[in-house]
Amino acid sequence: MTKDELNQIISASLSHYPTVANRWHNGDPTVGAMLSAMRDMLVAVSDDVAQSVLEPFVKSKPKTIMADAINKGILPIASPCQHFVWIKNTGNFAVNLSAGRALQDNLGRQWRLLSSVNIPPQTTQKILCEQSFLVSNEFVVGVSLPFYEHAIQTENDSHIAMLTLVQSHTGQLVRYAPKLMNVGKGELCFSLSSTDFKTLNLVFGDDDRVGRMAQAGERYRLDVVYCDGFIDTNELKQAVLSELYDEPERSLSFYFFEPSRESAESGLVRQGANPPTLSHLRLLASYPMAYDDNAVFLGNFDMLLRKHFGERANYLAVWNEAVHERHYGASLDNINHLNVCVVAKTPADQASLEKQIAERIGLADNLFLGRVRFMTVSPKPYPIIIQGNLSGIHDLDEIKSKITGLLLTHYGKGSLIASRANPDGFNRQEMARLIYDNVPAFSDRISDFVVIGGNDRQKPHEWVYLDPASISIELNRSADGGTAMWGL
Amino acid sequence: MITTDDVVAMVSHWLSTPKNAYFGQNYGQDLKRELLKNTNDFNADRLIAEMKKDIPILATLSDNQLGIVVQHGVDEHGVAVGSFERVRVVIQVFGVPIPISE
Repeated sequence: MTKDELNQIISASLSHYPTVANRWHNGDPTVGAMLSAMRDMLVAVSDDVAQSVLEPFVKSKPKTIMADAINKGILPIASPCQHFVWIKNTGNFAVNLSAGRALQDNLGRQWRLLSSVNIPPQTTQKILCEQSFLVSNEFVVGVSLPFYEHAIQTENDSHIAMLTLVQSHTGQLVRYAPKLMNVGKGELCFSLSSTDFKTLNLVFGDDDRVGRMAQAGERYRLDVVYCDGFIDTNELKQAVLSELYDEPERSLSFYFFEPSRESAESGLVRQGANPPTLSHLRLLASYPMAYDDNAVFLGNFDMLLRKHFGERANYLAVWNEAVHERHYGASLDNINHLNVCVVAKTPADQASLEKQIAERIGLADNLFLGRVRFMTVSPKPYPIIIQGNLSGIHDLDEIKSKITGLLLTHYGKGSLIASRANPDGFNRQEMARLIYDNVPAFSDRISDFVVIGGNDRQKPHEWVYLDPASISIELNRSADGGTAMWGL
Repeated sequence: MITTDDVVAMVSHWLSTPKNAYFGQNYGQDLKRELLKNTNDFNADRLIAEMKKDIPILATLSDNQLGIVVQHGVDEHGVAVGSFERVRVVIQVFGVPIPISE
């Protein structure tokens, strides 16, 4: 119940008492004060009721999913796109560009050079750039409080990609410790927290328990790198320097492809990724609690990779020795190896995605450092048959295309459900519920349908998804045409 | 139809309601705060402004329909009128005076 709904109910009930209604509408406190107090109390109670409705098995409310993600330490952090830029010098002087120089692409996004470069006259140089910009500011700790929090400012339409914190007067780099785990007393470090999945807070420790308390008057320098997350790299054409420092810099041109176009080499190094979306978080919410970023069990590794790379992959599966031998037979080579199958959303991103996954697994558990095997994915459209009867009033072809469209958005290539290993194939019960909820034609008592799918086991390297050819729909008109049934 | 009596009732209600008396609302006055101040610091305009915020209908009244009269313990010539440690505050709505606590 919202305030507005209750106000409408109050107005409606008061219409029996015109004098009082008049006083209520004119803001008479002798009437209004207690009515609004009761109204506000009901708003608070109904909020409470809504939150305490149990979700025993599947978390589905955005509020619970958000709370779960925050509890698990998943943060709204994006990763920036990295791309090569070819710099062509058409002038007569050599030009030096230092690392960190800002470029702007054709859509006004900011890029930074990741290293310094010297471009001799009449030559072309290739250099790595990152789509991000740095905002640096200093803040003073206002009060000495245990677990002092400092809000990080957000930039319009940009996501936070990374940050570094430096204690100004000592120049000491403050270590990032997720959730202040494994931190001793008095050790200078910080954690990050979020309360609404939009803003980020820095959290310091407490001298008596964990970490070090921020003292009033201490100054810290905070460098935050913001980026735009996912960008369509096909649209990248040219760039210009944001500011010109020098006359010879006018003769430079910047391209996101090789200007002579001798080779079709793609300049993409790493595709950007947005912070996890709500549907992604819903999937992550069904995993058990993870210990910061230290994966232990197989499920932890799955979650770890999904948390960091889920937004960049169309298919992502990770399995250990035991699962591997069950599907592919025993071999000595399997011992202490972790197997990963990944399909990047942008094909050019595949190599760097695999490299980063191997690094991330090594960070979580150094047993697997250098022992991650990447398997070739075999795409496998999953055949399903939908059989059913439909009452006479519906158009069969329209319903068929509706079902196909619905299934492809939820189970097609690139969908969230198809992005994980489904050893038993897809869950037909969920599929049937999805159709029932979204195709109103099946809601009468005559129409009926059943979803039939294969029961064979899928191996982890098999990317199971639905495509238009794998869905066959056999719908017939209901034979029950004559009886006047309105629904029993 | 809202009459003068209703408006007087509203003002009396406001005067007898301390702040935070109603759940979730800032409605009410905090006259006790004035006791801790010098009697010369009594600011009638602030009191009227707060009252107008809580009772929207008062905002439609003109200045001579709603007034506040403050009687200090001494008059402008420094001659004692009544007790010197008291301030009498009277709020007038449409000329109907409502005395508030001394």
